[in-house]
Amino acid sequence: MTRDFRQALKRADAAWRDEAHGPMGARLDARLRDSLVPRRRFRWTDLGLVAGGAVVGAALVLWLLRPAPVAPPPALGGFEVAAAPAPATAPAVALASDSVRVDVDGTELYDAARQLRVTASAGTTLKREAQGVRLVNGQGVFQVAKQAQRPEPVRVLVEGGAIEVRGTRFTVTQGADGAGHVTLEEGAIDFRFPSGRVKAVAPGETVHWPEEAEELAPLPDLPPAPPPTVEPPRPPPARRVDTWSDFDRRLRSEAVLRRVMTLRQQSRWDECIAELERALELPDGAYGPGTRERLSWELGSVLTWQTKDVPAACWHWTIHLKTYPRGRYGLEVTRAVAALECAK
Amino acid sequence: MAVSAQLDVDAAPASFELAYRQFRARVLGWALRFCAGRADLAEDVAHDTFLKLHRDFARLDTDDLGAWLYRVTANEALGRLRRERSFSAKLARLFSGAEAAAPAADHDFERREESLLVERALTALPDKERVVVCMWALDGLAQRDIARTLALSEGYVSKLLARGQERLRARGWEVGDDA
Repeated sequence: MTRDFRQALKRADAAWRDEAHGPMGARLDARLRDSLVPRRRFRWTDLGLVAGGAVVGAALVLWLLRPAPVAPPPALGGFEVAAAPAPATAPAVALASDSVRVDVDGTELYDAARQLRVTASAGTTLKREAQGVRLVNGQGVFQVAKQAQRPEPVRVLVEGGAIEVRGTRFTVTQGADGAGHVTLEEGAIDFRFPSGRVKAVAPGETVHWPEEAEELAPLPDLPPAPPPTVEPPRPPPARRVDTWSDFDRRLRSEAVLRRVMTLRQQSRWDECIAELERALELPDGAYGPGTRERLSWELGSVLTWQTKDVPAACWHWTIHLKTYPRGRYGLEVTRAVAALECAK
Repeated sequence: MAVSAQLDVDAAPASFELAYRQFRARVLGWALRFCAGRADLAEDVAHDTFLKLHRDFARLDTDDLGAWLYRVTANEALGRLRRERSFSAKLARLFSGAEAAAPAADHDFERREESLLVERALTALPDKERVVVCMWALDGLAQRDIARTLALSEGYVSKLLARGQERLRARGWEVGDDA
């Protein structure tokens, strides 16, 4: 017996529809409700936000727990005032951004960059320069912490040279007339004279400046004035001394010019001329560029206007003009030559 | 004749909730027949169909919503059956080598004998043939409408229907002539 499939299928379909109205429909309701409720889905940005929040929180905690800032010691002229015997009074006065004058005996100043400590007497003036700490005048006990890795020695600059030190204690006195001395208490220092000579100083030893006269090169006699027809002698050939460092040259130049200025101010013309002639005897490499021309001009100026030594001045200006035909002091030289009437 | 007219759908619902309430039983019924009475599969098909409705409701032509749901249910059923068959076949190969089981035993026992025979006959049909036969036998759709609903060619639908009828006849059913 065959059965009608379409009729049987319709009856089965009716039964399925009944089923769809029952628990099956309720299950579908629940599933759809779960599926359609918007859920917060995980995103990688969530992780980033959490990590960022943790970092900010940690930074906040660290900031809250940071140690209280320590007030830096008062700074004067680039120095820190490490200790003063009488705190109620001002131990020192800043003269400029890089120099200081000590008014109270025993004031301790500290140069943090060089780890140099100075216990200065009243009236001492100190200046921080690129090359080192300059004792302009007065007296100070210098102390430098020993440090093996220091690339360059700490330098204490004085009128008559420079003291190079890597870790030691010494007392320096600098007078207003340019003279002074250093006494080493412990360690070892080198004293560098403007001539380039370096003297090793032993503990207990004292070195004075300016450099003793007998240690300097002897002064040459002034050559006689040549007759007008004779061609003036050529200036000494340039001789480069490579062993002298830039620092040596600058130090020597400063020292000579200071001494010349001092002698000028005191109208010690003969000594001034001798100092300039001695300085000009040194080879070219002994000074920085421009210094030799300046020294030559200074000598000519003293001969022209102060001592009025016409032959010597004329002879000097002839050499000067030949050496520096387009020199920086051309106008002054022309005026001097005209005043001297050298052509006659 | 349009599919919507043959499906006897109601007036256009104004919201997804109204549409769901209106079409829930019908979609489940369609899913059950396309899945040969398998409630678990039919529930998944209905669930996915309504999720699609929720996603696309704003841009759908709600006047023709019944036809849209019928088409989506049929295609969801075909897709689900294909995936399920593939997964079942893998499991069967993995564990016993036997073909995936037909409807669950307790499910079968609750049916009347005739329904059981119908379900077995439908289960024996390939998925596409079953869906086509149901559309033809229950909803009276012409081959052209079936082809449009399932996005198949009319010739292919004709072939599927002929094969399905032949298989049913081979199992002792009287199918009648083609539509």
